[in-house]
Amino acid sequence: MKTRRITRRTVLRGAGAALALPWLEAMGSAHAGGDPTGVAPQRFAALFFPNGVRQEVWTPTETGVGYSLPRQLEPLASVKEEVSVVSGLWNEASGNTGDGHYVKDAAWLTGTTITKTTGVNLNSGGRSADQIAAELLGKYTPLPSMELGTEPVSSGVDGTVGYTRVYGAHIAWRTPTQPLAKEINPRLAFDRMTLIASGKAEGRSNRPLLDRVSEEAHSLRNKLGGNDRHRLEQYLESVRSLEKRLEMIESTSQNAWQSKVDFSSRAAPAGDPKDHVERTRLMLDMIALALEADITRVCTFMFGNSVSSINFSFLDGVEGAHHELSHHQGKEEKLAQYELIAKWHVAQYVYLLEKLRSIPEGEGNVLDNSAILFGSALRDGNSHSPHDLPLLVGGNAGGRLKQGQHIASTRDNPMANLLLTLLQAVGSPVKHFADSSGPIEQMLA
Amino acid sequence: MHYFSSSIASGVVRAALFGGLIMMIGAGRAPAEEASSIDFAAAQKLLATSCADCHGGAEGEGGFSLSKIADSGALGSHYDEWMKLRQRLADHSMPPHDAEPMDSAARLQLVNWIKQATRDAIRQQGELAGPPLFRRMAAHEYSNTVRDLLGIHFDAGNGLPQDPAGGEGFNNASETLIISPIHAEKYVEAATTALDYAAHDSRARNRLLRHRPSDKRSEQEAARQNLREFADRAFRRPATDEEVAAIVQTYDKARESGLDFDSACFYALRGVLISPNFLFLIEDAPSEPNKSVPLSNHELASRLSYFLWATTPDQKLREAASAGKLQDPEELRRQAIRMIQENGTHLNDSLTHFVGQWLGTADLGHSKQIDHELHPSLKDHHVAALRDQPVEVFKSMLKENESLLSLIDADWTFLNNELCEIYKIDRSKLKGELNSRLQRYPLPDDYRYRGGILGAGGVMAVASYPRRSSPVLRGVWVLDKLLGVELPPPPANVPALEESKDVAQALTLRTRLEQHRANPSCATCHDRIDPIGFALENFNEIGRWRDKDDGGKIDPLAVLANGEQIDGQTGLKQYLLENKEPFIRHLTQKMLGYALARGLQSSDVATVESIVERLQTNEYRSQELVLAIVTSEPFRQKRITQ
Repeated sequence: MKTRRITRRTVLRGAGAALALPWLEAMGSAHAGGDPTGVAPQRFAALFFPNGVRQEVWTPTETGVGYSLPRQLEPLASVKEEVSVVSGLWNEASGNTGDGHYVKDAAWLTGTTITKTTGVNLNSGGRSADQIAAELLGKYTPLPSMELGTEPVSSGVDGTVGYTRVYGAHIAWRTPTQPLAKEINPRLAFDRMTLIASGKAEGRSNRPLLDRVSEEAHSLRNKLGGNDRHRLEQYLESVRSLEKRLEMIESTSQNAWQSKVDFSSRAAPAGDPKDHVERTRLMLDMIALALEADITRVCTFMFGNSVSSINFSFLDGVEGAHHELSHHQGKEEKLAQYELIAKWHVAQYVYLLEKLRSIPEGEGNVLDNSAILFGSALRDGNSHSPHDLPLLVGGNAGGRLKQGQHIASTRDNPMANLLLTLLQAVGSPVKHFADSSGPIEQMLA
Repeated sequence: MHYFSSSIASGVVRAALFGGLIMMIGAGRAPAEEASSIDFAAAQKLLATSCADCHGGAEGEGGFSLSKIADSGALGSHYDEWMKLRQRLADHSMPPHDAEPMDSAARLQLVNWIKQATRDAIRQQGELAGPPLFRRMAAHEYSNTVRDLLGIHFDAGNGLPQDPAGGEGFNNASETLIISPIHAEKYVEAATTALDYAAHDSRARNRLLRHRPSDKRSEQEAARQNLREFADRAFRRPATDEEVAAIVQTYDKARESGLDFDSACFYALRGVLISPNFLFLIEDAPSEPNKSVPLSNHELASRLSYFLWATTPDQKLREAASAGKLQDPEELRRQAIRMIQENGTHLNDSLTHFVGQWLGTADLGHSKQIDHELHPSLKDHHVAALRDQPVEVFKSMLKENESLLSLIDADWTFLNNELCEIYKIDRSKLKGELNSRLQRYPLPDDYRYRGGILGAGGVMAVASYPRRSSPVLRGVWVLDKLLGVELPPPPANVPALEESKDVAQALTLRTRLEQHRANPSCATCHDRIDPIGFALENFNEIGRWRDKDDGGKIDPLAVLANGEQIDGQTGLKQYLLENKEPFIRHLTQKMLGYALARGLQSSDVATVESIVERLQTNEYRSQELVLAIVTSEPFRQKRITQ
């Protein structure tokens, strides 16, 4: 199919779209968008990578501050004071099942047991931590949260293990039955933000149409069975969240939401890069841009999907795909390559942290006002070990997080404790999360 | 190693309803002890020995009691319970680790017996309809539908999130067509962009707004006619008067606010394109539970159209539906044949997804990239040719109504310049001109191995690592994609197998795999997996033929557990042709799942079996598969269960 590139501008000029619709002007809402508190915004982000790490050179041998960096963590040197290594944690609810990947990855931020299925009754067992954060932080931004990734989902269901790859492609769960689709094309992510930051006329003209959808859905609802009604309801919610956003970005009140970035001054990323390094970098740039512009304060990112087959032969010393090499069979030849891949991921994380640190905000910078989690849902790929997950936390969450340490938890403490800690650090009032027993005190300033 | 792969993780066995043949390979003409049949009484005895400690009595632990399935009538009536039990046995999650271990031969016997016995029992129930459809269009269906509705060449669904697969492994499965908050926004954007494109295309514009205001026809009346025609097509059924009135009201308001006639019409059209009646395929739920009710004519037209063309019904189909003709199975057959035979790209739109997702070749160039450092001369159009070849083969087979077995072996295939470069084919040996278009060629003896799916390089590429072929991945691919064999997960604590070719020169990969298979707990699966993979070792990681690799001359002779020999790809094809029933059943199941856009249920078992029988008596003609599906009970009827 031929694809003609249509720019936002042509759309705005399009029939019916950009013309003045005076009858709509009266519809403006009194609701103001901006964050009324006046204090610096807090952000929460979680960056997931699949397939684990080379375990014997991941965890620092010393604990507390002043620890030395094991080989895979060497890229942390430039941000060491803004990052902590957290070891010893796991997700018990996903630890004891037979499956190597999906069960652990889908539940990385939920701390639950997912329902085994190739589709029917898809269920994560709980909401993900980012969505809990979005409940609070999402109130003040056009997008309550943003979901990004890099890798297209493979076709088919994973017949050998009996899971739909929906599980392997989503870590953000708005509800146990609603995973949040992610954007994997950096250009589309950029266009979306540009539209939010500037696209007012179009949004307003759509509002009567969106109202109409709600009416139609109402009459449709009665014809449907329970499950189907649920799906329709999800579409309606999706419509309502769009309405709410339009209301926010179009508000003319004094403390209305405004993009903190002038998008016309930013270059749009290349279309849809094939190169994994480039795509990853661009996506990390999009996270930084979204946080800087205050388009969202909550973001999740997947470096790859479960059982990722991304070919890492672009790294010197690596010949093969990620999952293939994660089954290293204890052979040094493969472990060395596995290690290089994990180290590359750490370096990308550092790239984002440095980028956030370079964006000034108030007295400090954006990183100071963020909590950025990085990790995998299994430790050793060869054995699919769920214990002692590789986890890093960056940013000070407005001074609430004490960084620069290696925090060695008692083995098999819940990872939910870490998620709870981060949620509380960014201001969430939650007291419990999944199987948490309490926040990790050493992390709190 | 186990069958670790990019697409196959170790873990728990699939919750297959009836997909697998645990012991097909090696059991076809198998050593009797492997799949020796047991009877109901023997099965009950095995269950009593291994399960009764916890699951005896009236209640039983975990809500499962053997008493529920003690009666032979329960094979059909408690099919789902039996399947759960079978799954727990097959994936070794029962009996639990702290219980008395179960003899592995007994476990296999039981697992196989349950499958066969329940299938026999369920067939007695006859064909049953499934639930009415309610699903949003998948992203590619959305693209095709908008293109056909507006008459424009524009990929409107381009920016929609990707749809992961569910059910039988296709991304049109209703259960996994999730709705995220991002969808409404993407739909609004796509509708706006597509309509803008149409508004600037005079042909499309004149067609959409063909009723013009005149002396005899008021503006509003003209708008109403345009909008009604569009809504009828967009909703895939006649729009109700109330629906039309609401759309016209949107037009009225826009017109009153100052938009001109055309712009106000286009504005109302945008509303139609974000309506749930357009975005969702909807079938009215029958009022009475447990009773099969025929689909309405328009519902049937949609099912047919999205199955065969992955788009909205065309005019001929709509007319047949409006005339009430589709209830007649003969008319349904006629329409299906027409849709298969008609020139144009519609059939391709659907088969690209069916074949590509069934075989996994759709991933080429997406989640499965060709290594460009290793193959710098392969460009995007080469990868596209690898991806499209199996689709073209399937399509040609269907249009010519050739046997489904030609997928296993044929004396023809589709080639173009790019594939000849990849395969290093001497073009002078082919009859006819070659260009970049994939076309059908009879295969000379030298290239006879290119016939059928197993001659497609794309298949060999998806079942390889980026820089080397893998007998294990290939074996798993054949078992999983062609035969529907369930592979149990690797047992815990098995020493890993070294599959790399660079280490241990003294030991060839084959020798190492053979050592691996000497371990009984590995042998269960690898006896089935590895020989098949070795038979395909003449193909490298992009499907090019080779007589030797780094390790020396390729030895494609494989020996199955029962001593039977498979000599290379030719031998494997022969083997598959001799064991065609599981292949046919698996393909039937896949296509039925795709056609119904959902995972199959126990109530579909009888339908699959009756279609397989029909194919057997019809020389496995490929069109018969399509016709049998579209005239089956679950395709033509709907039924809600309580």
